Amino acid sequence: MTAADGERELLRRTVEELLARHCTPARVAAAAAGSGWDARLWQALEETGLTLAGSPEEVGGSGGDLSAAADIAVAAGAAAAPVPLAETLAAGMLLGRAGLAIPSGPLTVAVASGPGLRRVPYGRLATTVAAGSGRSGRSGGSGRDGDWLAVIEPAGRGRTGRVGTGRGGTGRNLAGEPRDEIIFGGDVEVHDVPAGTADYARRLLRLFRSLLIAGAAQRALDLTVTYVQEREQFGRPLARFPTVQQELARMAGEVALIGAATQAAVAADLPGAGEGVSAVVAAKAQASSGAGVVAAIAHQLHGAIGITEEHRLRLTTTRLWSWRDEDGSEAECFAELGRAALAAGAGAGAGAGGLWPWLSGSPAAGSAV
Amino acid sequence: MRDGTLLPPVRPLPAGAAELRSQVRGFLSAERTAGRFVPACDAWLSGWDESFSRGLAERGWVGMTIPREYGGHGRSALERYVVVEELLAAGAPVAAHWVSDRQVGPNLLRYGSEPLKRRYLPAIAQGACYFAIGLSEPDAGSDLAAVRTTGTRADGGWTVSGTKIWTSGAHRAHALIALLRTGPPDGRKRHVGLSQLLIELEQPGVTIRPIISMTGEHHFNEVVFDGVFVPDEQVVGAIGEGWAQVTSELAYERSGPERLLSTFVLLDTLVGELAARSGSGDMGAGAADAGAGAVGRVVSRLWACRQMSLAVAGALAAGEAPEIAAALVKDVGTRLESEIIEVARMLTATPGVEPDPEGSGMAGLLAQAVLHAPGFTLRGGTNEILRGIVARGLGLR
Repeated sequence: MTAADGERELLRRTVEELLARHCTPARVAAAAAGSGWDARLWQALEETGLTLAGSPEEVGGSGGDLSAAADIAVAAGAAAAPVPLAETLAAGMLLGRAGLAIPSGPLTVAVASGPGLRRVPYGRLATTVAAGSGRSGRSGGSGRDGDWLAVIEPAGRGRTGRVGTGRGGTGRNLAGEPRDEIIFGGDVEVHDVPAGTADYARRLLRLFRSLLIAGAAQRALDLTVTYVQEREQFGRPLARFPTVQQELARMAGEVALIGAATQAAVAADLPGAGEGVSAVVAAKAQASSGAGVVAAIAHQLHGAIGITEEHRLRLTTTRLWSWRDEDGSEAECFAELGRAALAAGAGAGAGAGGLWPWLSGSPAAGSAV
Repeated sequence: MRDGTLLPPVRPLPAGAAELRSQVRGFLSAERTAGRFVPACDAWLSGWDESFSRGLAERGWVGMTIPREYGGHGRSALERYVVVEELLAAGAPVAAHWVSDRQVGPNLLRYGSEPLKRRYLPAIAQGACYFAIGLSEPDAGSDLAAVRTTGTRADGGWTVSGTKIWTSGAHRAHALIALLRTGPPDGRKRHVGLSQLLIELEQPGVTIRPIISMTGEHHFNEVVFDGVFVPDEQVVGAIGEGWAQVTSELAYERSGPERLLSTFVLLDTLVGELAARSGSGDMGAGAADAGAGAVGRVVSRLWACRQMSLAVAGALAAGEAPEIAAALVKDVGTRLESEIIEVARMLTATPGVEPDPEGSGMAGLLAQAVLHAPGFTLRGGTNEILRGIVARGLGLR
């Protein structure tokens, strides 16, 4: 193990321990039933500086690279942490890339498409970093053409961000996490940012949502492995039944695939779209399509107790069912990748092997792909 | 259960991988253009072409990881991975040297005596020495420890009797490495008393009978040993250690790119044809979107499976033994190989392409793929056995 690996492992353990202490099933459930978040957990996280890992120190971040932020997001997903931790990590990175100062407190990211910002995670209580191109998403302001970022404080904290009065209003996802509409007016300062920033924001959202899914999928597997070892039927633990073993192994395959896809996306150079397959889109496609399989097997093996409010499994599976549709469902990602695959095939002609260079991320010299 | 037990870390490919990849690609493109091979599904099993194997060997792409002192090239396992996935993605005929290159070379390097290494490794690296696998028996398929082929102690060696089955390519191969019983089991511990012997196939007492597949192809065989004398020098590793040796050998067999890419040529051709049709306006926008979605589904999964396979390859190269992850790659990868067929069928249904063994293009590839598909989830340990290994790794048994 290298020194960097050791440091990464230490960070991972620190985060997991802190989250385990706070994210008891009772507190996660209470957040969902109440205000939508756990303020005490947020405070504890903020004190450690973990909420801004991966963002440059010059703009107020904690420094470190994407892999640190990614590990924290996976841990947050596993713990079902009822705070905008992944969202804040993504927002810090987005502001850092644009060279804008990071405001204090919980943050969230929204990409504008059409008027207003819909289904913004934790929009009611976090400062929203909105990204867009041209006039989309903005109700006022000048007619800019390029990419922009806007930092919108939540209602009641100064500059306008009205929450919950638009068509979407306030809302929640299946896990009780706030998903709110944000409307912002001309008094919000809009920053011109380099071209590609809005696209970067979209990729960040997809990547961090995939990482949350990876953590939750692993937790669903862990809970199920434990359950089938404890629960006895016909005089022996469920784990001893071959059919149960086969299903769990199938589940493990999906969990490992999601892990491989998300880790590869973290390893790929995030800012540069690069050539070949977009790793982030492929990772989200895999995370979203695997999430449903994982949740279904987890519930089947838990039996009826798993679908009760009392059991903690739902805290994980309701997240899986929500997160797979957020920031790009598998249908959206499949279509996007499929179109890119067909474009790669068109560049080479049938049977001429255009797909493989694209898929393996090593386009042939002189290829049009 | 930590994530790491299911999935080793994703590591980058070595420097120079891109250069190597483009060399292989250039070679394959020239060979294909010259008509020296026609891309086929599952060609690593049925594409037996000795001159193609020797041509690859001349370029240093067979026995790559064998050290130079044994006639190899001293390349890394990950460099070999790059070459192999290029060959598989192109549907190139690599069956002749496949077993020698994939597992016999590494097995001999790890367990073989000096004379065995000197005798076989240079020939393997020349693409001129072909092996079959000697594991399955008529009464020992998934239950490998039930092998009944025996080696009886003789003067200066072992007398071997018994039957091996499903030995792909044995009728053309020079030798196989057989797992057989050289000693009694230790009570219920059946893994005790098993050994690996390297047996030349062209010698008295060896009878090879063909088993024709439902494709009409002959790659399977039944190999009968009737009192075949195998000298001590042909023992691989240690007598009684066969089980441990085979288990480590199987890790190479389970997680490689051949567990994902057996139907890649079909997918590639499908994508090329769909792209041509949508480009020429032959396809309505709705059909084009549906096609893109279905292609994206298998492409994203293939991409993810490849990342997983690469992660396992990286772990193997680092000297780790990721048994669970290797089993998972085979399970998810081989099921995807079949799913690709279903997507291809769905998307070519409209112009009415049907599988035809005599057909060219999609029709011919579909015929190959459909008839080979049942084997994908059987060979190399059935997926049910592999999922059992995973379950044991998760602590369930």
